[in-house]
Order: sequence, then structure tokens, then C-alpha cells
Amino acid sequence: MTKRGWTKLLLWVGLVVIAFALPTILRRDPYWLTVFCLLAINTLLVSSLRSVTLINEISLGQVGFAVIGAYAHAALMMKAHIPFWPSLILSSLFSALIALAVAYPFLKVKGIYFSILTLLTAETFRLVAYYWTSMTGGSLGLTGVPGPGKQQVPFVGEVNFDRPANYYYIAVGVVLVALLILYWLERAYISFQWRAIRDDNLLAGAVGINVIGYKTINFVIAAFMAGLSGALFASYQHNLSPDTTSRFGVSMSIYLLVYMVVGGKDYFVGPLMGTTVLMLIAEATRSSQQYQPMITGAIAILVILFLPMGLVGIPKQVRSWRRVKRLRAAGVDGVNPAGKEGKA
Amino acid sequence: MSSLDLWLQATVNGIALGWLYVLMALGLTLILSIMGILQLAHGEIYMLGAYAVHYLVGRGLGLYPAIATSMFIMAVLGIILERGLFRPRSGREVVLCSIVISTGLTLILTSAIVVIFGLYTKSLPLLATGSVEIFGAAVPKDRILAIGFSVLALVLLYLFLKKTRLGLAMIASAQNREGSFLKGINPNRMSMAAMAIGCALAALAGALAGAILQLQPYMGALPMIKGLVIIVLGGLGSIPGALIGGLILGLIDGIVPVFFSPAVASVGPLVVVILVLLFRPKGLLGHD
Repeated sequence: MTKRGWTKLLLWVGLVVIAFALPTILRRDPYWLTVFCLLAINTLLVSSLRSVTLINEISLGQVGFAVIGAYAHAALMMKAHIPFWPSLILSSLFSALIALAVAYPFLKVKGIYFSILTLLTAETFRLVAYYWTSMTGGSLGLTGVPGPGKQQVPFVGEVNFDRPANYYYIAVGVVLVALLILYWLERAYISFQWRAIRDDNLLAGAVGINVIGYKTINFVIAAFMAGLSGALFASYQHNLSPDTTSRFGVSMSIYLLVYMVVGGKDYFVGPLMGTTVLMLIAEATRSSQQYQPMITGAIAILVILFLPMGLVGIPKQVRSWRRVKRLRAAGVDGVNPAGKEGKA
Repeated sequence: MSSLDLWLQATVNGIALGWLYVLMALGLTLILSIMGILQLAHGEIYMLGAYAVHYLVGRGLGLYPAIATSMFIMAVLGIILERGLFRPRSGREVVLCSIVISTGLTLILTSAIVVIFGLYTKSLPLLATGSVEIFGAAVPKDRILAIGFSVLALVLLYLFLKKTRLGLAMIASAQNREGSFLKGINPNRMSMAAMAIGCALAALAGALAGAILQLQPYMGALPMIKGLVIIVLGGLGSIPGALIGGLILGLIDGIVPVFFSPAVASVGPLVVVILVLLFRPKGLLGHD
């Protein structure tokens, strides 16, 4: 491994250690633990959104698949009395199945059209949850979604995972595994096809890549991850509401996108970075709650205008500014300050 | 209430809603086809337009002058937004950039309205009171007036685009940005005009919606989504397409909840869009 590779690995290991040490550090402050739990769940959702950008599409519908995951998980546990773990997987699979059903017409269109369609999907799923009262509790919301309950853990004994401090381990563990899978996929053979489609989908089709097929795989995986995050959320919050202003409204799709871009969409850690920074800022400004969206919105606009590579991309951005300065000093004109040559 | 009565009222409600969606879609389709960006804050312009009318009426202005003033203010705001935020910058991905900027704008504008006017719903004076008899059924007058204003706006827009030099230049720019640039049409000017007209139409839609429904800070999201869906349904850049798409969505919203259930009505648009895209990927009246 190269020196950079070791540094990266070390950073990741450090991050995981910190993540698992947090409950001990924050023993006196259970509130912050719930914040970090939600942060992990959101990071997975944003990462699923980022995974769709690998095929050069912006999905505004990840929240829709999270809605499906959340309500499927609640229904499986409350009505069918299926235990926590199988229900978690089944509800995510169900969400992936819905994505598979709508994938063909969706992925035939590109760019802005795709974003519009996914936005419509998210809103449709939310409205279905809103009006399908017998299944979802409708506008009153669904209360009493069970958590994992008491479970045997080797070496530790019986642990009540319904306590927020213990549920944190489950949420972080599942999110880490899911992120590892996404990370592996991004470096697996299949990502070459995705990148080819991202860079030029006509050329990719011409050299024999099944464009719609590979896009569908990507979309379905992203929907699975979104569903997983929704199901984790259902067991974390214990109640679900399909209101406009709730977690499943249009504004959440917007927040996810902002998290991703602020972190840096070209980097795998971008979603983690963006979600962490913006959620902590939101927590810090909780006292002036009505100004909170304003702050987030302003950060989003400033980042996209001045740091198009996001927070993770700051070092690269600084290097490219220096290079431009050097070239300008040397009398070269017309260089592109954003660091991405030839893509106007 | 007879069944025919119910049908007729549902239909008129649907058409009135549909026309509001058409107004949103027209603005969005102008912006999308000329500037090539997704303006997700269009719903917030609609909301701002309605609140501006609310504020002006509260200051003692009549309803109609207030609507006209609000349209003018929003048009100026549109020009400022285009010049300050949406104008393409070199080295950026235009679509992503526009989506993020407009989402940021959505958050800022919504919370600004929450701070200034509060979360509670507000209302505007009615456009007209009473109802007219059509085929023996009572239809509220304000719905008819709202439809009338929308039709008037559509006709004016159509004439502007087809008969004036600026309108023709805008169509040319939408068809081929580089080609029209070579002919001496400044694409940035066209973008400004598109934003100004689009925002004025959104303000009109917001004011009319405020007069038949209510005002609240989150009122913009739904019409914005409907407007975008209409573009996909009808075809980008097509005015008749927007008209047909808007009426389809409006009628689904007006009729289906009354006779079936709201759940069916909420799935309706998605199903219609998927069906249309399977057979006509460019939309009903779209072309390359």
C-alpha cells in the first residue's frame, strides 16, 4: 500500500473507533447520542444519493424510498410480528423492488427529467403514506414502532437495544456495513461500467455496455440503501409521520442534496462530512430555530459558488487556485479557476 | 346535492387548479428551455407572490392593483436572481449548480416568510362572491374568474412569443443557444426575460391560489412539483403541451378525490407520467 493509502486507512479506522467510543464519551449526555445516531442514519441516505451520481444522475427521490423502507419495516414488525433483523432486510429489499419496478421508464430519461421524476416519486410515496390510513395511520402518524428489543450479544449478555444509547450501536454498525458495501461497489468491476455511462452514455452503449441495465442496478442498490436508512429511522424514532414538514417531505430531499454537495460529491467521505458539519451547525443554532433553514441554504449557495468541490475538496481547491495564480503570473490567460478543465 | 352538481363542481375545481398548474408550468418551461436549469425555487416565488399580495392588500391597496404590483416585483426579483445567482459560471456543472442554488434559495425564502409572517395560514380577499348557474348547478364565481385570468395570461404570453421580436428571439434561443448567439441574440438577455416572465406568471398563480385557497409558507412545493411534472408530460418548451398536461393533472386533483379516494389521486400523476414516458419519451407534444 502507498503512504497515502495507509493514511487513509488510518483515518477510517480512527473514525470507526471514535464512532464506537462515543457512547462512553457521551455517557452524561444521552441527547447528543441521539443526534449522532440520526447523523449516521442520514449519512447512509446521503451516500445512497451520492451513489446515483456515479451514473451522472441527480436523484431527488431517495426520501421516497426511505418512506417505503420505514413504513414497510413498521408494518412487518407491528402487523406480521417479524423480528427486527429479518424485517430490516425485507423492508430494504421491498424498497429495492419498488425501484426495480419504476426503473425502466425512469432511466430511459436523463438529466433534469430524471430529477423531476424522482422528485415526483418521493412526493407520491409520501402522499400514499398520508392517505392510506389503515396501513400507515395517515396524517395522525404511526406510533409505537418497536425497536430491536432485548437481544443476546456474545461476551456481553442480554442487551436492551430499545434504549437510545444501545440502539446507537446497531444504527452505526448497520450504516458502517452499508457504507463498506457502497465503497466496495465503487471500486469493484461494475463501477467501470457506471463511470463509462457517466462520462458518455452513448459511447458506453456503442462499446457494448447495457446502459439501461447497469443504470438499473445502480438505482436499485441506491434504493435498497435508502430503504435501509428509512427502516433504521423507523426503529430509532418509534413514530412516523408523513406530514409535509416532517422528515419525509420535499424539504428533506432538498436537505440531502445540500448535505452531499457541501461535503463534496466527488468524494466518498463527502456525504459523511457534509451531514456532520451541517447537522452540527443545525444543533448549534437550535436556539434560533426559525433561522436554521436560512443558514443551511446560505451555506449551500456559498459552497456551490466558491467551493464547487465541497468541504472535502478544499485542499485540491486551494492547489488549483495557486496553480491559476501561478499561471496568471506567468502570463497565461483563460485558465479555468474551478480546476476542471474543458468542462464549461 | 345532485350527482351532476357534484360532478360539475369537481370539474370546475379541477380546471381552476389545472390552470394554476399551467401558469407554473409555463414559467418553468420557459426557464428550463432557455436557461437549461432546474429552478426548484419557483414554488417559493409563487409563495412570495401570494404573500406580497397579502401584504399590499393589508396596506390598503385593492386586490387587482396588488396582484399587478406583486407580478412586477417578482419579475424584478427574477431578473436579480438570474443576474446574481443562476447565470452559468465557467467550469461548473450547470444542472447540479442550478439545483443546489435553487434549493438553497428555497430554504432561505421559506424561512424568511416564516420569520416575517409566521407559520399560520393567511387568506386573501375573494376575487368575487356568489355563484353562477351552469346547467342548473351552482359554480362559484371566483373559480370562473381565476380561470379567466389564467387564460388571459396564457393568450398574452402566446401572442408575445409569436408576434414580438423579443418573443421570437426567446424561441430561437430556446431552440439553439449557440446558433441564435451567432445571429446576434444575447443568450443572457433571453435568460433574464425568461426569468422575469416566469416569475411574474408564478406570482399571478400564487395570488390566484391565495384567493381561492389559503396562504402558508410551504404552499409552493406542491404546485412546483406539478409544474415540473406537466413539463415532462406535455413536452419541454411546448405551450399546448403545458396546457394539456396541466388540465390532466388538475382534473385528477379535482375529480378523483371526490369520487374515489385521495390515495388514488396522489398516485395518479405518477402513473400517467410513467405511461406517457413509456410510449412517448419526449412527452405528449414534445419533439427533439
